[in-house]
Amino acid sequence: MIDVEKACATIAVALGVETSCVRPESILGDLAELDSLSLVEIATALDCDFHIRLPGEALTDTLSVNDVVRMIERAPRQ
Amino acid sequence: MNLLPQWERARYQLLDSLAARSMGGTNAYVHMISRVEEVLQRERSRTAINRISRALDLDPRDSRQIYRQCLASEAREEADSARLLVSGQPIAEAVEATPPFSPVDGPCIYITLHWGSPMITFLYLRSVLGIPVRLIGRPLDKANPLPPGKMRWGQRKVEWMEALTGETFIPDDGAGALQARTELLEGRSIFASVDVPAQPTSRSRVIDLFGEPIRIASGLLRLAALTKVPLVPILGHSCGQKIHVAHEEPIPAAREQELAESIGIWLRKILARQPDQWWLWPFVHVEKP
Repeated sequence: MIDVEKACATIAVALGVETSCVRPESILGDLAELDSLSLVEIATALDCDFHIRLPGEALTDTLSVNDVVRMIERAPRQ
Repeated sequence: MNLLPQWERARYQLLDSLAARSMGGTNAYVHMISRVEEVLQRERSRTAINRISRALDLDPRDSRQIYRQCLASEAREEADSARLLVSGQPIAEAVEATPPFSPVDGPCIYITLHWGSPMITFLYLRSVLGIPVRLIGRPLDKANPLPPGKMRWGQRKVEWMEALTGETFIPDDGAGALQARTELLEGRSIFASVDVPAQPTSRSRVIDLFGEPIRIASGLLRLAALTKVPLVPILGHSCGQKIHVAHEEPIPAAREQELAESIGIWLRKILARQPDQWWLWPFVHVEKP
């Protein structure tokens, strides 16, 4: 099982927002003003914290944190 | 009377009717384009000439000469591409690398400038040397403000390049950034211009251009820092009959600011040696104090 709180914390740090702002139902694009590199930063941070290789292209700003957690569960382990 | 729209149409028609026909046609096209552009784009020319004078401590006459060569350099990239596209001449015959090219071991980001022949340099890496590398470029879509003639030529050129390499371009947007990351993590390389002037909404870094602080988009630097791959500076430019390609020692992955400083050092070195190939003299974004 993926630690959802840990995923929220990782995403918060990658986006530079308060951890308390990131909840499982939060939509990535609503958390901060995302630019072309924000999703790369989130993917890299998740890869590092969860020892996975996230299929980056599947990450979009319309996904919720819960969606991302499901992606982490399916991602190949490093 | 504003002649620019008519000129813009005529310019791209001349690529087929003149530049693509022979090396003589290419040379005639380059000479004509550089002269007419200098006169029609008067304000732009003044900006460029003043900047070259300040940067290189030259008098305006020498700076004007350099700027004309810059205009010729950009026109030559178009003309060489048109000639290669129409004639079907193999890229391997048109390009040479001295010293012989030594590919980097593992993935990297090949960085180039709006200098000389960047697109033909990419074609050399991908289709002649067979290096697994993809190009990041701005999509030629409705959001792109290119004038119609240049847009049509750009679309033809992209089709030609994609057919030669068997690869599509990676767009310079969020999806493209993720795609580029995947390429690098899977061991392939990326090719892109690093001297792109920063847009207000994009991330940027300030580098020094001979005492003048300028802003460049820093996305590539961030990508290199995140994926821990080196940057490999590479340039190509026309030397008469051949396009000469040369690369420099890789710049190891580092923090963004350190990479920006390395880019600044490289840019100044290149411009001190050959300022007459850089197309961006009039377009850089100077940081206001």
